[in-house]
Amino acid sequence: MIKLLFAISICCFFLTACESQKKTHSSAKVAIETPVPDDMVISGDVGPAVREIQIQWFDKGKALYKIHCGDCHGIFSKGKDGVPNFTKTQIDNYNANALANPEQHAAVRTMSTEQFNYVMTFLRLRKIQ
Amino acid sequence: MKKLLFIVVICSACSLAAFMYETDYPGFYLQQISQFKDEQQKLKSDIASVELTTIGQIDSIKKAIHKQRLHLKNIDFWLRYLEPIKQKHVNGPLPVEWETEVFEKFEKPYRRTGGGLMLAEQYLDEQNILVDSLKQLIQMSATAMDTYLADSITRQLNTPAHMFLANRLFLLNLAAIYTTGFECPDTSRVIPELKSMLPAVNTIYKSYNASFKSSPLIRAYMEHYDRMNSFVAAQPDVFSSFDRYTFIRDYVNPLFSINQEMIRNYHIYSGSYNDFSLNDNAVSIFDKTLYKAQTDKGIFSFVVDSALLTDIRNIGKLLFYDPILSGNNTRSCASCHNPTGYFNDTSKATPTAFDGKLNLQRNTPSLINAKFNHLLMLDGRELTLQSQAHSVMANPIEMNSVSTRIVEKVMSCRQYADAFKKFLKLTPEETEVSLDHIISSVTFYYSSFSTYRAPFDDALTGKIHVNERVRQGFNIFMSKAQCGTCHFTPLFNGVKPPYVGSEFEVLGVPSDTLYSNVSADSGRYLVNPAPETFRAFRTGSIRNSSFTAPYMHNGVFRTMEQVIDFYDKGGGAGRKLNVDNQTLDPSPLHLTDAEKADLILFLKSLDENITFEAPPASLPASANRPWNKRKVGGEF
Repeated sequence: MIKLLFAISICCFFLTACESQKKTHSSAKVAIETPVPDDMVISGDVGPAVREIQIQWFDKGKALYKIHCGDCHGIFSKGKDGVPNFTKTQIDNYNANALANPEQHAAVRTMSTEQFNYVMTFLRLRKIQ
Repeated sequence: MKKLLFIVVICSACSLAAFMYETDYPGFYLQQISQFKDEQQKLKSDIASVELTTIGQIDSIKKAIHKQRLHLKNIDFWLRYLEPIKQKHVNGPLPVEWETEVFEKFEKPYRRTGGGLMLAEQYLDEQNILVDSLKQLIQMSATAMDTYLADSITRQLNTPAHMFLANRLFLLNLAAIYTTGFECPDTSRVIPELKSMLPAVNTIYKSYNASFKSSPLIRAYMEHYDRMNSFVAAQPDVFSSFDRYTFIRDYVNPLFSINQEMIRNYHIYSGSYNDFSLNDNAVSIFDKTLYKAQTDKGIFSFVVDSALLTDIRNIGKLLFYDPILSGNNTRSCASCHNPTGYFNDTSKATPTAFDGKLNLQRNTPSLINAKFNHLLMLDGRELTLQSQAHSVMANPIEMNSVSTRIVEKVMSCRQYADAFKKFLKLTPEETEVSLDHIISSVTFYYSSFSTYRAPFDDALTGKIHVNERVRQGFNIFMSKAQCGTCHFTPLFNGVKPPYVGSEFEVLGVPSDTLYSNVSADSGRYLVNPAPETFRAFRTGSIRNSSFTAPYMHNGVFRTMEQVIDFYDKGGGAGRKLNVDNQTLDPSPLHLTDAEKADLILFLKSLDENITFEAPPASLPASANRPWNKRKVGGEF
């Protein structure tokens, strides 16, 4: 559980790493120790320890997303018209400031910082068809 | 007849023009900003035309800067809310600040430069002034002003939301910033600037109300604002004589309350991170729910059922006293954070290390009100209450636990195991009981002691009266003693409006009371190495300070008198210690004995009336017998 502390400090790093890696399509070269979920992209040559954290965060983020975000931001359901469903373009352009709107984002404001990170990890590492 | 028609046409054209001018609030904004920009150009050309060699020339530039600062106060209402980073270029208090605000917490601290009028004015007091450097500071402010004409900013003026949100920030700043000299090095100008600012904001209100008739600032607000204006106008211009106590109690806080009401009634929502921490439901500035910096429930963030929360808290309490969280089962959280005495350790300057022989480097901070900080630990290295607790448990010289074993050890106790299996169901994203569950129950337990009020809070919300000397003490705190420029109203910690980040200061705290050396601790530098962060520490809260001795990061001072004396003499640099990056003014404050005594009375009025609880009688039994020897609260 050193992971928490460690992971927080590397959070930013691997999220950026994932972005740049996606562009170069180097995911095939990465040695994988733990099998990743089907709907997760393999991003960055981060080593097995970080990969494991990525997977854990991804899974937790997915669960939190389904409960607290999915009704409006449809990934697993229809969602609402006009609300981003976080396609590749939408997640890249997503403005963190939009989260400050309490009416629409009460869930985000209730979440702990860690939980919010899980959700963001899920959204960033999610395979998008 | 023709003549009559002509007159009618002219008259209606005039009234139409007047009408348009009256109702055009965004136009009023543009006009005010442009006027300020024109004056900036004039100031720049004034500077270019002088040599800055004689005192007379320097004084004339100073006067020009003063004049512009007065004008700045007319528009600061907008600048500060609409683009706070650029506002620091127009009138920033420091040349360089390292910031990590709200969403930036997970990123490396940002280096943000300041510039503009305040720094230019300070620069004029230096030896060997270079015209170019001065021009650069003014240029920075001129460039920053262009931003305020950008579409992304001006379009906010077309809807009502920004008015109430900017106004909230304005009111919070009236209580915390504008009367303290935080951004005004020449203290004789603080109150005159305030006196010119209030009517200017009133003009903004009126222009807004004319344009947005369906969601105006209500009459009760406008009338009370007028009363505040008259109160301030009648106050003396002398910095230390302005009655901040009455100002906040009778005017700022009631206006804040009405503004919050308007935010709720008009269903105003913000898209700005400036408002992210602020709570629309807080009815007073001195409401402890004013802003949120930490999630004390951690992993249980979505739990609202009070019976379940009580269960979580009770388990958290047991764990807080339980040395099972330490590597050798003899130390608990309560070993240093005494839960029957303000959750700190008043017996030692710095606590005993895990080996029982050495001492740690830093004093044990109180956990009360810890949740009102964005960054934790005295160097701000932890981002959440939960990661802070974990880092202490895992630290080899503190509790020396192996993280992976804590869950196993805790779950060996039946009472804990049953409880956490039940709590697991509250966190559907988790597949098994984790350290996060354990830690979150602990942070939830101790944070429940952060909801209490102090007599001063009750006084400023009009519930009780306090001694005249407390009022005097508060005024000294906010003015002559310069405490209020770092310990911000209302929590009196290092979090200033809009309460999105934690501040750090370099004070030059000595290693001993003889002032033989500066404390060797590098502070924030260990987390974010930069010239400005060397020996910087996070500003703590001064609430409950009667009960949180010894003071400062290394616990060097045992009494409040020593602390006040330290500041009175200008910190470490004021005592001729070598602290070249000190952020505290090294010149002496010249506080009189009576003023110091009043200051202490004020500090005591911030002692919260907390009801502490008796320790648990026993700890849950473990399936592993040797672990059952552990004592409530640990052994050292």
